[in-house]
Amino acid sequence: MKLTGSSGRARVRFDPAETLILGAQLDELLVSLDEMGPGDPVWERLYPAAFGDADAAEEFREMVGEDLDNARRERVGACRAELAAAAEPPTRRGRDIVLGPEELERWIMALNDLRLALGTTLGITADEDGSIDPDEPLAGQRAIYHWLTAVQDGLVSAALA
Amino acid sequence: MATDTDVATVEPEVEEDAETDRPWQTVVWDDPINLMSYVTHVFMTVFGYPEPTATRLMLAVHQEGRAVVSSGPRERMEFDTARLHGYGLWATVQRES
Repeated sequence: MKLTGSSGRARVRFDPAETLILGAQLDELLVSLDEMGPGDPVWERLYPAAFGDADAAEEFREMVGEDLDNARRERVGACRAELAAAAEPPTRRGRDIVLGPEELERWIMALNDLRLALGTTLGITADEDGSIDPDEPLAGQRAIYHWLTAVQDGLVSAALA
Repeated sequence: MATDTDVATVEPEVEEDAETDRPWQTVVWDDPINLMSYVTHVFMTVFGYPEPTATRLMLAVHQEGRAVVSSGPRERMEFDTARLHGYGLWATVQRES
């Protein structure tokens, strides 16, 4: 990944391997948004209970859940489309995706969605130090999680700078 | 959960209104996934706080495990919470204790 940016704007470039990985993550999230529901830990994290009282939490979800879900699908889908467009026709080093303030915000949020979903699946804890045990069954997923963290951190820095 | 010991020293409110006037709060809880820089960015975006204020609030969440980020009528707190959920923050609505 190559990233330059400041004042709420950024240019980001993913090479073909990174494009495949990120594209697959975005696709997977879109599929799981269709498939999962209450009781699924990822769903519970993406659509948190707003009240300690179960009835109030349910009522709140009925009120805002659909908007939240639509906004999430929309941003993940839009980033997926931009990523695909930047990879066509294929080049060895990839092409810049140019992000104005709105697009940058959208990418930051979509990356957060990916990290929440993957991080919850992996059971990420507060004392995560970025190290990976190669023998762990989910080592590859964990590596992707840390890479997504680096991408999001870079984009947030561009937004804050 | 820590109890608010200051409450005991506050002048007593008019008793009959205590229950209905007690304002609501939006609370953000610490979680191991959201980046500190991201949470700061979200507080700046959602509440329009300058960066030092947003950073202080983010650190309160991180160090105390939770922080009250806004207070007022229930509808306003639900609105704030919905926006924070939009950003993937773990936010809840509660009555001021």
